[in-house]
This record gives sequence, C-alpha cells and structure tokens, in this order.
Amino acid sequence: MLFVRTIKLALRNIRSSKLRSALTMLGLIIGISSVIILVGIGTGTTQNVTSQVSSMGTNIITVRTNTDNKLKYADVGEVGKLPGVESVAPYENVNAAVSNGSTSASMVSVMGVDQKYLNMRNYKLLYGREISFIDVNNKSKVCIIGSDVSQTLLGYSNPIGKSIKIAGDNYTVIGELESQGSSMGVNADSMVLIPITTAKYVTGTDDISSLFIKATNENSVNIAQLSTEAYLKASLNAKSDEINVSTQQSMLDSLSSIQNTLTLFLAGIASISLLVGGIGVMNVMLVSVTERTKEIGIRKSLGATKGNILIQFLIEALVLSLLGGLIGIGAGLGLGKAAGMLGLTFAYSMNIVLLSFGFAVMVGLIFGIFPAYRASRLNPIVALRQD
Amino acid sequence: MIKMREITKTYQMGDTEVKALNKVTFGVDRGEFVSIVGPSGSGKSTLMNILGCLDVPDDGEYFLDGIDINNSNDLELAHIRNKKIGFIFQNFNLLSKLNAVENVEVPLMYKGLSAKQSKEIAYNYLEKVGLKGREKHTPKELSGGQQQRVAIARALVCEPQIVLADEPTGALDQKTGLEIMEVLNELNERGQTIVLITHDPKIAKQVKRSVSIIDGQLIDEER
Repeated sequence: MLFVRTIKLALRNIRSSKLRSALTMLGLIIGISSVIILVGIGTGTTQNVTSQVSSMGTNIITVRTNTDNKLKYADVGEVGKLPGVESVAPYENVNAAVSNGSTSASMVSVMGVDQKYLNMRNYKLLYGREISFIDVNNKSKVCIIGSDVSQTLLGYSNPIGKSIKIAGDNYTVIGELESQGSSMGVNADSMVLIPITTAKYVTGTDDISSLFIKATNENSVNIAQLSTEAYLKASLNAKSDEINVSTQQSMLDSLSSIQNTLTLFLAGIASISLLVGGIGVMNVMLVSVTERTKEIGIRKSLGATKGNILIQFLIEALVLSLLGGLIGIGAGLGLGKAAGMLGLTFAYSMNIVLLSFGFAVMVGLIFGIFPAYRASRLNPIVALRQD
Repeated sequence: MIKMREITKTYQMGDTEVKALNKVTFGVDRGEFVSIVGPSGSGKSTLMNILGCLDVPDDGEYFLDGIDINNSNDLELAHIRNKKIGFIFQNFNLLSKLNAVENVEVPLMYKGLSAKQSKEIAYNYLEKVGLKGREKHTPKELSGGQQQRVAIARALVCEPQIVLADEPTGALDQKTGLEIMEVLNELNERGQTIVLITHDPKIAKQVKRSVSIIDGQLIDEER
C-alpha cells in the first residue's frame, strides 16, 4: 500500500520539476537508445552479410591460388574427381576494357568461366542462355553481361544478339543476368562473363587461379576441402600459404566472430553513455535530497523510519530511470526503424531491449541508492531546523 | 505518562560545551496540560526534542508510557513518534506539495493503514478541527490558522498518548492564536495529554500547569 503511494508520490515529484526530470532522463534516453540503435545496426549488417554468405550454399568451397606453378584448365577435371567433390567451376579474372564501340563501361569485371559457373554461384538469367560446353570447347566469342553493363552499353532493350567489344574484339551477347546488387564485394550487375577458353585470347595463358568447388553434400565439405588442398599442394608443389581453400562455414565463423566483437564494441561505447546518464540521475537525486531536507525532517517526526525514507528516494530514482529507459527504448526502436528506411539494416532483438531496460533499472538502483541512503540518515532535528 | 529523571544533554559548540539540559527531572500525568516556558537558549527546544523522541539524552532516564526511550533504537523511536506522539510546530511544517487531507494521511500511511482507511480517518479529523470543505486545499491556499488546524489534525490522527506543541501560536496573530489555544484546551478537556512549549508567559498562564526552564534547568513548578 505504502509502496503504491510512494510511486504516486515519486511521479508527482518528477512532474513538479519537469525540466529537471526531463534533462536527467535525457541522459538515459540517449544512452539506451544508442545501445539499441548501435547494436541493432551492427547485428543487422552482419546478419545481412551472413545471409549473403549462406545464400551461396554451405557446401561451396572457394579456392584461390598464388603459386609459381599455375593450375591449368586441363587440370580442373582432376579436381572434380577428388573425394567429396561434386563439381568444379574455375574462373579467371581478365583485365580488359569493355565498350560498345563508342561508350566504354567503367568498373566492369570480366571473367573467364565455364558452363558450371552460373549454377555454382546461383546466378539467374533475365534474358538469353548460359555459356554452354560447346561455347567453351569452341572458344566462342560470346558473353553474358550484368544488368548495369547492359544498361550502360546497350540501353534498356533486350541485349541478346547484340555485340559488345571486349579488349577490342567483338563478342555476341547471349545472356543477361538478373539484377541482384552487390554481395560479398562481388557485384554481379557489373560482370561480363566469357568462356574461359576464349579468355585465353585476352590473357595469353590458360592459367587458372581461382575455383569454386561444390561438395557432394554438407557432410563432405571437410573431405572435399582437405582433398583439394592436398591435391593442389602436391600437383603445384605449393606451400600452404600459397593456397587458400576456404569453406562457407569458415567464412560464417569468422563473420560471427567479427559480429560479436563489433556488438561488444558498440555496446561498450553505449554503456559509457548509460553510465553518464546514471551519474546524472545521482546528481539530481542528491540535489533533490538537499532541497527536501525539511520534508525529510517532517516525515521523520511523523514516524517515517529510515527504511521509509530510503525507499521513497530510491523509488523516485527508479521511476526516473524507468521512464527514461522506456522512452529510450521507444526512441531507439523508432530511430532504428528510420535508419532502416535510409538503407541501413536494423535488426533489434527482444534480448537487447530487455537488457537495456534491465540496465535502466540497475542504473536507477545503483545511482539512486547513495542519495537515498543519505536522505535516510539525516538527523530529524537538523532536518527540521532547515528552511 | 512521562517520567524524566536527571536528564542531561550537552552540545559541542566549537570549543565550548554547552549544557542544554542539566539534570532535568520532570513528569507529566495522563490528561494533563502542561506548559514549559522559557526564553530562547534556555534548553526548551532540546527538552522538546527529547520529549518527542527526536533526540536521545546523554544521561538520565526517560520513560514514555512505560517504554524506556534511552534503550530504544532508531526504528523503535520512529514507531514511537508515529504512534505515541503528535507534533505541532510553530511554522506548521506541512508538506507543501500535498493537500490538507494528504498531509493528515502521512502518519497513517507510515502506520501501515490502507489508502481507504486513512482517507476516511483524515477526513474525519479535518472535520473535527473545523476544516470541512477544505480537504483538497494545499497549504498555500490556507490561512495560517487553517494550516495550524491541519497540523493539529495530523498530530491527532494516530491517537497519540501525548501531543507536543512547540510555540503553536508563534506564527499567528493574536486572535488566531487564541483560537488555536481554544482548540488545544478543548482537546485537553476531552482527555488529551498536551505539553506546550513557549517563550511567552502569557500563553503559559492559559494552561493548568506551567513549568519554567532557564539555563537548562527546570527552576520552579507552579500549581
């Protein structure tokens, strides 16, 4: 009963000094909303990247080599026979200018690939057909282009059958990729894919530096990884740091460790602002105790125990922090949503909301207890004598 | 009701010790109306604080309603103040943010009564002191006399064994002061034990029994 009354009294005292209470709460509001926003954006961004990684399929292995003895296209078939490996898609970056004769496209990445590449990367075609085994075999001068490339060089119309210039040679467009934006640093929209054998015209070699490998299933990923590593080391006579065979899982693992570090870091920064908010609460409560010395004296003369006074001021600090916390959570979620509209990915979890709410309660308790204790210890005679 | 024996209280004022009370022996029976009169600095405030269990003596014995006050701890003293003592102060000491009825409810709250009960009792007591219809007024909206009536209602609301009135008319004009004295006299006639502390011998004379205090000593006791 006394408890309900004390809460009402606390609310009344907070209302009677609105500006001061609002400014005190502002510290907590900023603290808590920044926890929610920063952690939300951090989590959202990493979730984004994680989903991109897993969308590539968890049984995909990427291989990059940087060895003196190069892997040749002819060797790729051998890799395909290794235990655990279902299929292999080699690719080679080609350094070449792309144009339509008059306009050249900038920031384009030309890659030599074979017929397995699109399937391996989960790329879908908007128009046309894939690069076929026959294209690779015949070293056809055909290409599949990304949607940005298509727009820049050929306008918005269907590009199939038109021709573009790659390193000065004419290539017939046989397909256009569906637009899918950038993912993991690879922008499919600005890609030009040509048969890997045709790429030899441009590069002058049939060296292969990178492979995508699909394991037969998720359980054989490790076998495929180990066997590929062993095979490449032996056949290329390479040191282990010259070959990088990484699974999607290992990328996911390192991503999640980055996420954890990032989240901790952001939470740390935000906690500092919460701490500052808490000091604000303590400051105001101390002032409040000093201002209300007389009230404390009167209450003690009327039979208030130390406990009564302690609880009164503690509840006031708690109510103040709780209000600040609730408003902070509202502001954090609102601003987070707004940031989401601006293109940032914002993911809030109930855990973070509850955690920051709990933190607000703790701030109220910890920073309220000292002023409340001081109030409860006041000597009633001295307190009554105050004006 | 009150039994004090050789109560001594010393204060440290800078380097010098001030004996506020020097072996004061004093008693009040049930139903008495006693005034303690003395000039400022005579020790009457200290006596009042000790009588009201706001302070404890350095030496001597104090029994209130059979309870040994000297051997009571803080918590027990708070309960004694709540249940056995009603304070009336010179400057009323109402809580300015609360209205009349809420002020009267405060001691009932600390006694542990429900909101409904304490509201009922508070309304009742405000009516007894002639403030019916002004229950929702805040102290600022009340005259000095009315504020003191609220304070009297608050002092009585827990049915204390003893009412301690510290210069209850000191902040009031003469007419209002007389009205308040009348209220106290009526209370006493209905059996309430009252101790009144004042510097004004004229007020002290309106009371059945008067005790003087000078330099920390009760020097005479007339009728």
